Amino acid sequence: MRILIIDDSMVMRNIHKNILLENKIPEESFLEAQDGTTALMFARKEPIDIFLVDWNMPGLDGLELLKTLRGMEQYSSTPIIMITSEAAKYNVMEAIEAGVTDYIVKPIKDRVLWEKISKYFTK
Amino acid sequence: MKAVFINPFLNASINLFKTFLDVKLTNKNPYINKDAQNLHEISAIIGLAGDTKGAVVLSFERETAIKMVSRFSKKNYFALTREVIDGVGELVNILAGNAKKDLLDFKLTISLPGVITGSKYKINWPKDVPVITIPFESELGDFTVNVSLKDKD
Amino acid sequence: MTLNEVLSLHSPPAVKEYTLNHDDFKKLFWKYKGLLLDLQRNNVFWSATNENLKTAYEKLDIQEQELERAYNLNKKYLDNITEGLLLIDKNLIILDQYSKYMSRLFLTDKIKGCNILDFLYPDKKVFQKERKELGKYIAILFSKTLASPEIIQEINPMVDKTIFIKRNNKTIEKVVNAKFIRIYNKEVIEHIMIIFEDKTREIHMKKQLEKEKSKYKAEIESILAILRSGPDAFFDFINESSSIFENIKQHINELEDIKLRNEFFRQIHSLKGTAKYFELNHIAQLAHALEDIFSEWDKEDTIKIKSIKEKILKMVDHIWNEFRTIDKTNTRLLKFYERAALHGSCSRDGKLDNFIVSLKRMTENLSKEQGKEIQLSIKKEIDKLPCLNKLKNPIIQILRNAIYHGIEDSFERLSLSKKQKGNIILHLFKTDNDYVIEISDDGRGINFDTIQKKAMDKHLIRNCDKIISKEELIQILFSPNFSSTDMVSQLSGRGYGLDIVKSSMCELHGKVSVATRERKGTKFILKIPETGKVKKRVK
Repeated sequence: MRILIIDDSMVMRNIHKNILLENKIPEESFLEAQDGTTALMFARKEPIDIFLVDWNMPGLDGLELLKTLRGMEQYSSTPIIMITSEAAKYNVMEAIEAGVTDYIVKPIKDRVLWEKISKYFTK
Repeated sequence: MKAVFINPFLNASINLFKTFLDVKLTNKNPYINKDAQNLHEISAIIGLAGDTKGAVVLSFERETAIKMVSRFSKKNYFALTREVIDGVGELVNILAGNAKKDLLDFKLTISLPGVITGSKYKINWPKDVPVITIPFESELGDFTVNVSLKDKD
Repeated sequence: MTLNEVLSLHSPPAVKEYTLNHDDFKKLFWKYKGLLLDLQRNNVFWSATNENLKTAYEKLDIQEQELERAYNLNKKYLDNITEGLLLIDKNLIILDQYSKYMSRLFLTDKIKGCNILDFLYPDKKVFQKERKELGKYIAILFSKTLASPEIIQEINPMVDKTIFIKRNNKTIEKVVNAKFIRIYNKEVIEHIMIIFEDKTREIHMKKQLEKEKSKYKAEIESILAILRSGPDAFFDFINESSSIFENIKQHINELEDIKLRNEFFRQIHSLKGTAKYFELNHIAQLAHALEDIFSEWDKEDTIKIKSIKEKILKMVDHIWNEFRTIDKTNTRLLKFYERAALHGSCSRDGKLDNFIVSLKRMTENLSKEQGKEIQLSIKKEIDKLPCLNKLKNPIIQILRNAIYHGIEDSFERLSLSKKQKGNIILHLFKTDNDYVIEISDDGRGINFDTIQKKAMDKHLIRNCDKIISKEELIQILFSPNFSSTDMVSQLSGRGYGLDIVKSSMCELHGKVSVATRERKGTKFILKIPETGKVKKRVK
């Protein structure tokens, strides 16, 4: 299984990684990117099974990345989970319209985050 | 600038620091900051654009910043490292993003956070709009959340 | 022609002699035999097919019965379920089958074939936003199959939504919740099932409960109020109010006279003010409701006037009942006071001081209610005021105006570089001839542009080119029917407040003047001549 964590904040990426490690997701399945462009490069090079995406990032942001991925045959139905501080209803709407699988507003307690995303890891 | 604009930031701050990070704190009365350049050593700024414009600045003393980010990332930092600065930026990003939820008058986008340190920096606040400062006293040290948001024309 | 050739023909050949030899007969026999066999075989096949068909028909019959049973069950379900259940297609059209409850919930039988947006929000202009939101949401339900149900629910626009149903010229308000369920046909979403739940009653119950609570609160409120202000003040208030109500009842059929109506309105408004001052919030609320009924008056509509009169009488009785309860409590407490007074432990003197204490309390309460921070400072150079009872009301009105209209909320003040806390000063002093009451605030001041615009809107002044002086505008501010703010609040703001001040001052042969500066504040000055001098002037 290949999991791509995309966030411009290193601290945030580490927080996500630690939650997954605690829940027995092996370290070798993680890939990290600090912006949309890098993420896209990874996604083209090798197949990704789950994307965890931040919204606000330099260059290609999370929403644009989501739209681009959904336009690719290969990722038309891959779980793409947005984890962002953007809490406004119109933001959730926009992400759903762009094809997001799940939308999680941070800050969120580790346990709650795992409850929400674990289903995508057991498939 | 109206009270309804400040409350979302106050609530987002309390949710982030008190509820989520479990920091014991009290917020003091907000006041108009006549010297809005007079901030703590480390300030994270985020710009707001869209239906109106404005900025949010989260300002810490060095020690408070380090302790706050340590708690946030569950990792102990002892100096102002790149990671701590990155974490302070993330905190202001969460604050601004969350506050948008209750700013129902406007549709806004938030910029990427910027973090500045030192004693001589200058913040480009929106012109002719007062800056409201919400001071917090916490077990990890005092800090301020500073907001400036232009009324809708 | 050979036999083979003859046999290959479809119809008998033209008459032509031909002979059949033995071989021909033999061939013919076997041909005939073959045909017979074929026929037999066919027969067996057909009878088997027939059998098959029969069972097929029987099966179909059973299926049909099952279907009918299912349909009946479905119908029973749809008829009895107490949720509004319906299906819509991609074009937002409501399908034929829906639960009977839909008709009850939305008070109509015109359901099937309707567009769901038109059905819920027939007024395209007023509910443009709601229509757009719901349309977008349904489109997402049909197309965005990847999104998790939780986040789709998060943007559900029909959560405790108030809708307005217009039937027979009446508008009925209902609070509904809607659940949206995708109905799949294989991989494709064919329909969306919408389940409406009526929350009106639940919300209504909640309100009812609050009402009960407030009733209980009202009782405690009145006891506390009496304890604070003393029973004497209350007897005055009760007597005054009683005569107002008696008057209204007596003259109910003369209310067509606008002067009388305005007079009553002013009296009720004043009663409301006094109730607020005593912190009898429930009475203030009822008085406010009575004002509302008065302002429904429409001289064109005689039927409406009749119902308004009925409503007025009903409300007057209702308020009077509340007063009677207070009266009983008051009498009991008075006995207690008298007994206490006998023992010298309770003094009912010092009325001005008591009044000032209650003004401070009123300021505290009202500013809290308004979310403002206000300090009332008292500068008292005299020990008593003549006709205090008649001066209370105007002072209360001006103070309320300052709290409500004058002082800005904290943030607005901060933005204007003012101190967060607003200041009101009550200055009581005496000159050679007059007692002077000054009430000044450091609020936003009187905005003359707003007053002028309002006065024009209300046709109090004509929309002419003439420049209206500030003095004239202040006169308007003191006139009946003027309100300087759109928000009708329970505190003040119907503009009758200053009207009361003016009429009270007239009665006392006093004078009222105003000084104001925009963004700096307003000062009201009330002057009343010394009692002895009043008498002289009257003579």
